[in-house]
Amino acid sequence: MRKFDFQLADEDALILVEAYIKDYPLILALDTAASQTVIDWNALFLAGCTIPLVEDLKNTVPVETASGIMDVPIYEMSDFNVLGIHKTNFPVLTYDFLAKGLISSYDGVLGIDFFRKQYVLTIDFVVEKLWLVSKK
Amino acid sequence: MTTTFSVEFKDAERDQIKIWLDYLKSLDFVKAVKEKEDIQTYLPIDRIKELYPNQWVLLANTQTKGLNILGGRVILNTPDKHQLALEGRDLVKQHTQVRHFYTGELPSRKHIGLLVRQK
Repeated sequence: MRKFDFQLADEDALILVEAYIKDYPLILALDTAASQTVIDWNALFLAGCTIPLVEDLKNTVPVETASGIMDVPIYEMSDFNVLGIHKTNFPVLTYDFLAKGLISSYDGVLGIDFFRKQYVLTIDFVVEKLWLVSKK
Repeated sequence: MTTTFSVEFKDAERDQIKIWLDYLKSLDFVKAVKEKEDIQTYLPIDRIKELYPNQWVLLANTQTKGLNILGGRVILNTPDKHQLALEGRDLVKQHTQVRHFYTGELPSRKHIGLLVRQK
């Protein structure tokens, strides 16, 4: 079992976790309402991912957002670490957050695809801790 | 005619550096001695925000406490995150403990739109 602390400093705060792409750290918001993990293209590029320019990404899927349906590219990450879990060939959705008018303190959203069928995730909002148990 | 030299000091020898810089400044034939403190040295987070307001900043030798950044050496700054990604990619490989962050105030959001992938 792995245990992690988080902080909800105010009523708008999210559960933020540290992710690593190779050795480069990103901040992701844990979102159990998101079916897929989404990471800002700028953050992936900065982290050294061999990723085409966002306009050249061909493999896209339609995604419904608050502002309508848009085509979002998929990028497969070869080396992805979050909450002590290391994944290879993990597909994430990526688009240019800034170009879509999103400026945020975090680099993306960690969705339930990261945990699906492999982990039990327990979130305690009173003591602000989360526990992760591998079922594999 | 003015000749300019750039000298790179080790951070650990700051006391020695100051003596040398004071000496250089005292020489009649030295026009100016400029220290690029913001580029060369570790700065606490408050100072970084003060020096680079509303900028995307790339830090090396970053010190953190949990997810909070305490300080670091500024190696790149730009108001454009896309520019930071394009110019910073090589810098990330050349330095250690590199992180990026935005020095300005970010808008607070009350809600997040759900993402639904279409089949």
